[in-house]
Amino acid sequence: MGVMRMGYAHVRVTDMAEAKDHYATTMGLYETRSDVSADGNQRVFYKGWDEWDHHSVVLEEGGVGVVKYGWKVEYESDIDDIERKARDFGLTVERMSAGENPEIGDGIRFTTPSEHVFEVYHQATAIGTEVGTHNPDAFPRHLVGVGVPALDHSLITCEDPALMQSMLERVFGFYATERVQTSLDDDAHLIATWMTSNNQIHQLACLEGPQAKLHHFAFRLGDWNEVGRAADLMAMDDVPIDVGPTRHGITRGQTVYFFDPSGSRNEVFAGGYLAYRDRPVSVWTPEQLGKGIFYHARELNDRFTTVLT
Amino acid sequence: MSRGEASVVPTVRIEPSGFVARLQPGEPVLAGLHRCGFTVRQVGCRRGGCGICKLELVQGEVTYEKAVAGTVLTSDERASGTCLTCRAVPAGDITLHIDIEDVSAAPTGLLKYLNIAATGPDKE
Ligand code: FES
Ligand SMILES: [Fe+2]
Repeated sequence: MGVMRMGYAHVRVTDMAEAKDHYATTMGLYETRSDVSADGNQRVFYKGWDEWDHHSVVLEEGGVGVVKYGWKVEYESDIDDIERKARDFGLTVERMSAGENPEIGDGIRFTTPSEHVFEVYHQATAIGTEVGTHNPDAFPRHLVGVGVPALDHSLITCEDPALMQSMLERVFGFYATERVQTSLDDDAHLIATWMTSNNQIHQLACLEGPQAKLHHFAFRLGDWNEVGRAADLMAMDDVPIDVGPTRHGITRGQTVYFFDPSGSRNEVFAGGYLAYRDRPVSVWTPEQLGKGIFYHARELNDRFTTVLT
Repeated sequence: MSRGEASVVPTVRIEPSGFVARLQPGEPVLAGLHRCGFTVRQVGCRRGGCGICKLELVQGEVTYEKAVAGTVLTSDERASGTCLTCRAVPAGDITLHIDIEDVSAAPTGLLKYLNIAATGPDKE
């Protein structure tokens, strides 16, 4: 089936000690490895309690913003298939070998039209979820902080969302679940698109803005109560909340946006309806965009489009 | 506050409005302005990552106690007096330029209780 999910988000942090405090103590991720990159930067690898692969978040010290995303495919042969499609699309693809990313197998790497680095791989060292697979309990008893189960999705900015949409459709086999466009006309300008490969409401969203930038990456939560509790913990830990708890009109997800200690926006995200390839795409137009983004306040703040890392 | 120096309370004067806020020792500029009841428009991540909170330092010096990425605040900007207010800690009294429309005027209502340490231009 090709791409199954965003396997990892690799981001930069300005101060590793503060970042670890945030991702381990407040968010409750499990550290699976810490090392020094070939460039001499300190790195820490994390997974959520309900993830089985070695890591889903990589922090690298030095600077801010996103280094790259990893996309896990179902079959080894999907890598070749995506490589061919990426070349057909006009992208420059390079091979990456097992171990270039610790605990990640062979794959390919390319830079998207949005100037983000994507890696595609099939094999990752299996660690197992924190509840196991044999008569598993509902959750681990001793979760730390928010205790996020898993990485969910990301929103990036790019100069040409329509081009990113067509790349994601043609190279990854993604489809759009929701869009923001200037009007309902056929020749309307695409402002943003929410894309997925399966029933998850979105794995990657692309919003018009500067190239190569990160808007946020999000962790999954179960429901409204967990989103509210996450916000309480952010207050206790003095994490700056950007917006929320509220709901997105787009995706119907329940959310808190907040900033990690390097100023990268994170999100906790619950809900979102089931996506299907044959479900008609929801379309939002600018006069209701405030409601689309923040369903209750119905107002877009400056920060939503200007604060990027 | 074992060192005498650390207990110095720096003031932030806002030009052209003339309002003054008194910060706590070690407090970043933006957090101090908020605590004193001023609402500043240029607020982003509050964690040194987005660069939205940059303002012009007209007078005085600031220090950065936490790492700031060179892509967020370049050395040229530092040298020419641009201040990343969410991370900058005044090294003494400073003066910032904030356009009138980008900062609230005198704190009113409950906010005036936050601002007991601040003085308005008419109280100088
Ligand atoms: S508010 Fe983002 S860098 Fe200061
Ligand atoms: Fe999101």
